[in-house]
Amino acid sequence: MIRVAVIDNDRLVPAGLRTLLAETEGGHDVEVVSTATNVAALRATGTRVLVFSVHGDRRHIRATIRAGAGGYLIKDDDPPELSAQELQVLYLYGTGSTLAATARRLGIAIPTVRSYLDRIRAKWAAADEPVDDVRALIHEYHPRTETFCALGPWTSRVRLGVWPTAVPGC
Amino acid sequence: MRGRGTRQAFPPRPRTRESARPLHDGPLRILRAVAGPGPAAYPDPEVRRQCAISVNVLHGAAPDDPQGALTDLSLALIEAGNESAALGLRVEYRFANLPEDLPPEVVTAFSRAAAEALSNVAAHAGTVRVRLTALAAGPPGESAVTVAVVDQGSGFAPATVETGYGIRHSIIGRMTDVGGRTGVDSHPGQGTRIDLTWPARPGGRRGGLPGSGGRGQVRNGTQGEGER
Repeated sequence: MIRVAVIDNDRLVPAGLRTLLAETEGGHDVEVVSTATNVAALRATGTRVLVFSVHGDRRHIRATIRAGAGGYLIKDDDPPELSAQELQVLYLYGTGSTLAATARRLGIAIPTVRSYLDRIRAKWAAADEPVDDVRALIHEYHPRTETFCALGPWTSRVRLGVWPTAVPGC
Repeated sequence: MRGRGTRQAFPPRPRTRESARPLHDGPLRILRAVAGPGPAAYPDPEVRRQCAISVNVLHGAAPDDPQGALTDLSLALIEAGNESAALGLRVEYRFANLPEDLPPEVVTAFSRAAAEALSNVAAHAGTVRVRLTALAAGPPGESAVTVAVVDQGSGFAPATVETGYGIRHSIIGRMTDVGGRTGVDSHPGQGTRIDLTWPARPGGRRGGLPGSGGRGQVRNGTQGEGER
């Protein structure tokens, strides 16, 4: 039997963890402690500490590990949500188009493209860690097919009779 | 690619090709020097060609994501770059979330259309760099795949040139034949992007005959269609 103390200022999370731990093989003696404390103080008592947090910031994680935590788990793995326009900009720019080409394609100005990119950076910085290269974020999103379709209108200037004028399903 | 649910924070998830750095600093640098152009280029053109192809294959196969696996499609797309690599093109590959269950004829269509797009870049774009990104969206078994071939080269004014056989048949035709679609977008000075998508219709992966939903289009900043 392993004694586990769950420390959280929230009520729901410890309750969920208690259930999960009870279901694991052998069961665990779970004690919920809601008093806030810190990792270093816990380590001083000889307790082994696993941190489970929404904060994914690297500096925060490093500091926690330095304080003696044996591990650090991040609760939420979903990338920050982007608007349809932000996804379009990320897709075009992230797959290699220039700022100018991205702006022309979406019918917006270059500074507007920059501000979308800044917004994407800001969302990531807030949720996770700062990103050096926005283009690398294209891996983090699996845009829905509609995002590709929404990049139109494709065809208003295409010579009729040679190329179809509508994207099926869009 | 990110996993679902809780992930461990250590080691930090790489978002760059850092993991491939030893490869880029070592064998790839030597092969590139031998492939030329440059003072270290090998005299025999066939050796230079093979080195350029090896650079392309190694470069494409170096994973962005340590957990990422190469699929039939990513391997076919890397191979599609070989001929253009031998002509001096440097293709930067990005693959994410690609399904393993694509029909072989779809993989072939993507690969041949991409090869044509890359050879257009090598021949017309006035740049030696191009980015090829293959992404999938949607649940397994129903995902749509998009392959984007994007350069920042000279672009073209579609109004002034006829759409060539290459774009019409080797790219748009091939994708349409398997039920996919093609977007071509270019403008002078702003490069060219070609987006190949399969299936053409969201959710069109099941049912429907090949070729029934596919359409190709050329779009541009001015008017008409273009030749590469």
